Parts: sequence; structure tokens; C-alpha cells
Amino acid sequence: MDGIYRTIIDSWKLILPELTLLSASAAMFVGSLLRVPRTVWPLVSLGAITCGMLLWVGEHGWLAKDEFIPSASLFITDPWRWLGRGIVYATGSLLVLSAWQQVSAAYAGEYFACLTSLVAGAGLVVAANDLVSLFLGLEIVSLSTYVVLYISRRDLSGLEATIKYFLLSIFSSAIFLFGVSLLYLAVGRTNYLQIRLQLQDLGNNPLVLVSGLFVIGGLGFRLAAVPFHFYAPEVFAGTHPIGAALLAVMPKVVGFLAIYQVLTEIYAAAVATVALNIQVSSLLLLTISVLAGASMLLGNLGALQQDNIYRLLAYSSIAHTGYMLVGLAAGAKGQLVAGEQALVFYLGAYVLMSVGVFVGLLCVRQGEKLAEYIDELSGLARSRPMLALCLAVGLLSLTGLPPTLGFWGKVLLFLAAWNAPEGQPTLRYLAVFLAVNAAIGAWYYLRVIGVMYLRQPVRSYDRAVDIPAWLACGIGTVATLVLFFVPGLWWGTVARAFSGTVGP
Amino acid sequence: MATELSAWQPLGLYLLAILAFVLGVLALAHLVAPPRPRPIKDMPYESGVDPLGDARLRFDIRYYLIAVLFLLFDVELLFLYPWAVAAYADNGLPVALRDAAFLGVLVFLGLLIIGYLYEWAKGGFRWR
Repeated sequence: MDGIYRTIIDSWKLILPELTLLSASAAMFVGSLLRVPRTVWPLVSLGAITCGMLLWVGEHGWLAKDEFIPSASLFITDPWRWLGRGIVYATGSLLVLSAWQQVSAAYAGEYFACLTSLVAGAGLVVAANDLVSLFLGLEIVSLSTYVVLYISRRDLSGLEATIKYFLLSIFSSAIFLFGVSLLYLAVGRTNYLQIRLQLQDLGNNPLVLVSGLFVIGGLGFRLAAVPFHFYAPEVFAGTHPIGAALLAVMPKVVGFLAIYQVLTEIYAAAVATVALNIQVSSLLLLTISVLAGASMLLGNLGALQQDNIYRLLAYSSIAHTGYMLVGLAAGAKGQLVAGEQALVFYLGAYVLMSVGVFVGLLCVRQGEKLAEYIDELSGLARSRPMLALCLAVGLLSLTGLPPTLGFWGKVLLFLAAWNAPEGQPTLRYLAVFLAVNAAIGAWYYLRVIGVMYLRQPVRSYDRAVDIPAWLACGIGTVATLVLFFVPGLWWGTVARAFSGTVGP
Repeated sequence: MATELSAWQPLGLYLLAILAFVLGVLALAHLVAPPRPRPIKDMPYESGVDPLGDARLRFDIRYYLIAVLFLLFDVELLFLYPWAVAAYADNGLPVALRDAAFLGVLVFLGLLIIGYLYEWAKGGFRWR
């Protein structure tokens, strides 16, 4: 008994970066009562994330080796979690950069405090080793997201978008919790390791399968996977572009790493039918395959009809959820490329290209008026050539065309699903379906590029330069281009993390 | 296969029990309640103030703020009871860990006070 208490209390050592971020966030909330210049807040936020990253880099150095062994603690560090938290911090710093000059001085303190705690919550989700700490992290992420969405745009449509997201997100949390409580009913534990041990002896218990479906449903909302996608276009179009950028990347990073975590560390241990020797996880993966197919198809078909660029990007983000779900469904079964590695590779690529596109769009503005419709971008290549180039690179990468990182992402996902062993025909169909959908997607992405490059300019846009946002956009674009030529840099890191080696 | 399927029994029973409860309560209300409608009895609040206008008013958003604040501080106070019971019961926390738990609760209360001060300074308690 003493040992378990000890491990729970010692867990704080494993989440030092997140604790740093949370303390910084609390300090910023208190500090926001003082009159401080606006630029202080993003600086503090970026500083806290940098401190967190330093602790994260040092983490595998000073942690004792036995802390990598699965234990009953609330949090745990292992190589893939280490990499996942790295993705979270990198995404967070890009979001801070892009929001740097976009928030009014009156609310800048709260905005960046919430952004900091959002990053901390996402890190906690990835590091979780217990259903309670997983839910804690998910709720920190959700609560911060509501405030961030509300502060960034406070007119009627912004409020509507925030309320829609708020209500649906609470609903999805309830679904997730219902699934968790069913699992608790079956095994009476919340720790992953203890649940695994219980499940091995449990045999066939339908509660486990049903709880898995609810958990996937609750997390599927965050990913905007198809039956749970209705909010995405409304919220993306209604909120400020920095809110849309945040919703496009952060919930996906959190959701995919959380689903991967519960699938491999909980449900992989359960048996659905003893007689036929079917695993719960294989049934859940079948569900995920269906979600993947539906998300790809409906996301792409929806995007074909959009004139509003943000609605288009929302549907495109639904389609990308579908592509990444293919990787999740392929799992570790692929012979050349393991599905989860392809998924994490694509996740990193998706963050870079999304930040490039969304922050690029943020710079297409006339005073406070931002470009909303595709036609407003016409002739951007003449009036703002660099900006148009950044947008074009991002859109090409979302399409999956060379010379961009998105190309390798799609190739790896395709290979992971195609090379699944015999007896898995679903995955081969899914791979073909992915290729077909990438082709459908090309139509609407290339249409936007065509509008920018082939038409005459109709409007002029501000020449004022928002340096931090440009920096974020530049990092996204340049990394998307450069990593196409050296994909091994990122792929090697991912492959090493999943084969059990820590470090870049 | 029969044993495989029988594992689903509890779940099926659970669904049936929910349905039975909902339908049962509705049916019971219809069976037991004497059907004697009168104008006064049909009012939303039988012994309250006479309602003026439509019942579907828009409530002031300030009530929502009060509800949220109440929930926050009330639930956080409730959290102290299980701690006090669990930490100092005879078969509760090991003695060696009681100091750590006490420190933890102090940190928790400190965070609560920060939240309180923030709320106060931002004017969250002002009715405006």
C-alpha cells in the first residue's frame, strides 16, 4: 500500500515541464491584473514553454532508468510519450508566435495564460498513465480552449462559435467519461498497468468493448472525425483565424496520442470473444477504419462545395483526420512501415503545414478585416508574392504533392495500410480509398492556388508586417519544404521513439 | 457460443432497466395522480406568485456567472471532506505520508485563494 502512495506522490518528477507551464499560467493570471505592456505576455508564455522544453530535453538524462518501466504511477515517461510531448511543446510555441500581435491589450494576459495551460494540459494527456490523469489533462485542454476561442473574437459570430464548441465539447467529455466508468465497472482500476493486469484474467466482458466505443467516440469529437464533425466548419468560420489554427492542430495532436495510448495500453489486453479468439482492440480498429473512410470521404466532398476559405480548411481538417485514422487503424501490423509511426510522422507534418496556411491567411488583411472568401485571395501572387508562396506551399503539402513534407506523410500512411499482412483486406481497401481521396482533395486545394496565381488582384492588402506571425508561418513553410528533401531527419526520430530509444 | 453471448446479459439488463424505469415512472404518474385539472392547479407554481407573461424568459447571464462561481468554490470546499477523513482515519493514509498530504491541501487552498483574488479584482463578484 505504501508503495502505491509513494509512486503517486513521486509522479510529480515526471511532469516537471507541465508543472512549470501551469505555474507560469497561474502567475500570468494574477499578473494580468497589473498594467503591463501587451508584448510581455507572449514573451512570458514563450519563455515558460522554452523552460518546459529544456526540462523535457534534460528529462531522459536525469530520470533513473527504472522510471521507464511500466509502473502504477499517475504519469509515466517512455520514448514515444517523450516525442509526443515534444510535438505538443513545438505546436504550442508556434501558436504563441502566431497569436503574438492578434490579441487586444485588455485580454492579452488571460489569453496567453490560457494558451500556456493548454500546452500543459496537452502534455499531461500524453504523459498520462492513469485514466484519471488522462481526463484531467483533457479537461485542462478543453477549458483553456473555450477561453482562448472567446477572447480572440468577441463579436456575435465569435460568441456563437465558442458556445457551439463549448456545449459539444462538454457533451463529448460526458461520453468519454461514460466509457471510462464502464471500464471501471468491469475492472475496478484506473491505472493502465493495473487495468492491463486485470483484463488479462477477465476473459470475455462486453463492458470493455462498449467502453472502448464510448472512449473512441468522446475522443473522436476532438479529432472532428466524421460522425462527430458537425461543429468544425461552423466554429472554424465563426472564430478568429488564430482560434481556427489552434483548433486545427492542438486537438488533433492531443486526440490522436490519447487514442493511441488507450488502444495500445488498455484495450490491447482485452479479449472480446474467447471462443473465436477475437481481440477487443481488433474490433475497435475496425470501427476506426470505418471512421477513417467516412471522414476522408465526407471531409473531401464537403470541402468541394465551399467558398469560404475557413470552412474549406475545416472540411480539409476533417479529411486529414481520416488520413491519420488510417495510420491508427493499420497499427503496428504494417511490414515496411508501422501505422502508428506513419501517424505521428503525419501529425508533425500536419502541424507544420496547417500553421503555415492559417497564419499565412492571418496576414491577408486590411486593417481589422480579414480575407474570408476564396475570391478575396485572387491575384495574391502579384500583390503579396511571398505570402502567396507560403500559402501555396502549405496547400500543396495538404494536397500531398511534392516537393513538400505532406507528400511523404501520405506515402507513409499508404504504405502502412497497404503492407498490412494477409487476412486484413479492409486495410488494403482503406489504402486505395486514401489514394482516391487524396486525388479528390487536390481539386479544391489547387483551385485556391489557381485563384491566387492566375487571376488579377481585386483588392489591396496591408503591407504592415506582423513579425512573430511571419516567423511562425516561415518556420512552417520552410520546414515543410526542407523536410521533403531530408525526410529521414523526422522519420528517424519517430522510428527511434517507437522502437524504444529516447532522444532525437 | 451460448456462454459468449450470455456475457452480454448484464448490459442488456441495464438497458432494459433504464427503459423500464423511464416508462414505469411515466405510467405511474398517469395512474396514481388524480386527473382533476383546474386553472390554478395547472399553473407552473401552484402556491407561488401569479406568473406574468411567458415562462420562457431569457435569464440574465449574471445568474450563470454566479452559478459557476458557486459551483467552483462549493465543489472545491467539498473536496476537503474526503481528504480530512482519508488522511486522519485510523486505517487511512500511512502516517509517513500525512505531512505530504497536508502540504498538498495547503497548495490546493493557496491556488483557490489566487483564484478568489483574481475573481475579486476582475469584478466577478460585482452585480453589474
